[in-house]
Amino acid sequence: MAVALKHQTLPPIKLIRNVPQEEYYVPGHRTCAGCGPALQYKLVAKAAGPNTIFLGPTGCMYVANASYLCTPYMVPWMHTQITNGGAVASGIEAAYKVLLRKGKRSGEFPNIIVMAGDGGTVDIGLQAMSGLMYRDHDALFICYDNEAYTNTGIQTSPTTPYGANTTFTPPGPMIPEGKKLFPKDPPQLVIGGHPAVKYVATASVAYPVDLINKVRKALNVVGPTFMHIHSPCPKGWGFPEDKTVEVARMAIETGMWNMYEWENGQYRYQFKPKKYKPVKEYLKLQRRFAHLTDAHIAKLQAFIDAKVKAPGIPVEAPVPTPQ
Amino acid sequence: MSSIGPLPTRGRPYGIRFESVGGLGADSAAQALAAAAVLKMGLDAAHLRAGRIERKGARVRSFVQLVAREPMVRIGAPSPMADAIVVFHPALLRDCETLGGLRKEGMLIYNAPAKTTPEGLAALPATARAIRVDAAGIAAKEKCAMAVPLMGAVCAVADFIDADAVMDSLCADESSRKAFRRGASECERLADMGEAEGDLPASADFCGAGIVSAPGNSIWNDLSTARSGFLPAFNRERCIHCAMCDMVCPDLCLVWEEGEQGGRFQRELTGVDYRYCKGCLRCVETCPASAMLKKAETPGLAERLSVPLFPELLP
Repeated sequence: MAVALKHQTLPPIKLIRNVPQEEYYVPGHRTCAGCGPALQYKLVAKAAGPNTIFLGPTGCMYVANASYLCTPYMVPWMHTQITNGGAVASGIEAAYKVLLRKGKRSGEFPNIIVMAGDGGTVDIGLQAMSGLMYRDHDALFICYDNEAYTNTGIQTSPTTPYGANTTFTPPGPMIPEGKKLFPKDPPQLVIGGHPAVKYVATASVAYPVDLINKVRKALNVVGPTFMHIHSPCPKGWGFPEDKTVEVARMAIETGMWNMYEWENGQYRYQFKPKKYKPVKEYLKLQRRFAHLTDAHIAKLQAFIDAKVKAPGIPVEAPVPTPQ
Repeated sequence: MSSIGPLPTRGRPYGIRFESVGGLGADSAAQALAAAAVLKMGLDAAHLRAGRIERKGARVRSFVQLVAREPMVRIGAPSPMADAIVVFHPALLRDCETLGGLRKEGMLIYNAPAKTTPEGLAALPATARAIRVDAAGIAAKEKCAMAVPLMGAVCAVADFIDADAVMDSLCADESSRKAFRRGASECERLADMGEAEGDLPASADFCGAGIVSAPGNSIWNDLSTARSGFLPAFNRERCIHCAMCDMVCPDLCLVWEEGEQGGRFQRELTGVDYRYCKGCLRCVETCPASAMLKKAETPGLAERLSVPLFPELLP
């Protein structure tokens, strides 16, 4: 029996003035001033429109938004455990498919979006995310990456960059660089091991129109899609609240963050600078890197230089041997 | 250094409560005061904190209780009554719970610019003292946490606290020491502010947990207290309605209306709803036409400039 599939085509947006006026993520939420993840949530909600279901695995965008029985979502939203965002999305998608097939529900198939943090995507929530991608469910999994467990007081996560000072990786006489490991690469993790995935993209709050268009493109695809969105955290990274967008832009200009789309095996790059700035310019904006010496910065620069040569190709990172 | 007097409360603990929002250094200052009292002033002290979310702009309540070593007093929980209340943000005074439990001979130390009177001071006991210090101004000038000048004012007013010990415990560098001394010298003692009789009743929610006052959609929340001293002031004359600010604002506090029929603009920005603005000033940073300007917040300014986002829902 034929399953009613999604056949929406959300058109791309050319200019800021064509961005939809309607907001589905309203104010009053208790995030910090200058929150990067809250900004990307607002843009994603705008891009997705009213026929959307958000799933919020535990993280800043659940705890700060939904504290004290108040939520800022104007579309259906559901909290999931940090471990099982992907699994709950799979269940909702399967239920909608069955209800539509049996004629128990009329209307269009909704956009199902999991709004998980970096911990809910590639650390604690990895198996559920991977399951969603593997089983070919029609959902968009978004990883808003603020590069730490910021909701609980800035603990290190697998996407925290090398050399960052977090409460679990404080620099000291024994480990002067703070974090010794190089980060995981979530989009490569998804592309590399999930044959059902159709579309993977990275985006940044520094380029809102690009972010909105990538979300719309991902929602138009039938099948599992993944987005990795760079969302600077003023509190966790230690920069003034008004510099969120500047920090996000500098990450792209130094190569710390790469903007690309992957569609059916093809890479397309956006906002690739002709000449990358030295990574030091990005590091000096943030207090979490204040302790780094020139030797550490050179190590990070070497990693970035190898990475930007061919974004999308895994780079061998210097991994310290466990002691 | 002036001599240190005895605690004014014989036998019972002297309670100081810090009413603040996250990110201003209130909790660290309370801890520094308690540490200085134990290590340098020959007192016993307890520092307790009402559990709330660790987040900039979230409500913070920190309690310090000072007590003489003899006879020994055990302190296991924060007290609902306070001999001194330190208020970090003038907007917090609007909340009647902020001053809850202030004793009639107690004192209020609050942060506000000179020549301004925040609303809510009339709720003070008539016999209580009010001390104003421009902590936000001093902190911005000396580049330190707002808690430092406020703590300087506390030490200047309370003669039983060893100011040098607290300064050593709190201040790491010379600029914050300067801010501490400025807080002590520039605080202003105001008379006849309060009208209430006797001790103020303790608030039911004094620990800051357990009561959900307004469930539902978050638009009913008032987040004015999340701003730390500055707000973006909108100048409509200069605005080119390009919506760059809307693309960088995470709080949806910008109010738009349909543009004039046949006019230049499809949509026009009319102002900011300061009920939701957290004062990150990203709009100021992004605005290409300098229509958003960083402005120091004085009591009542936000109410004057605010344009309501949901006029039909909220009064």
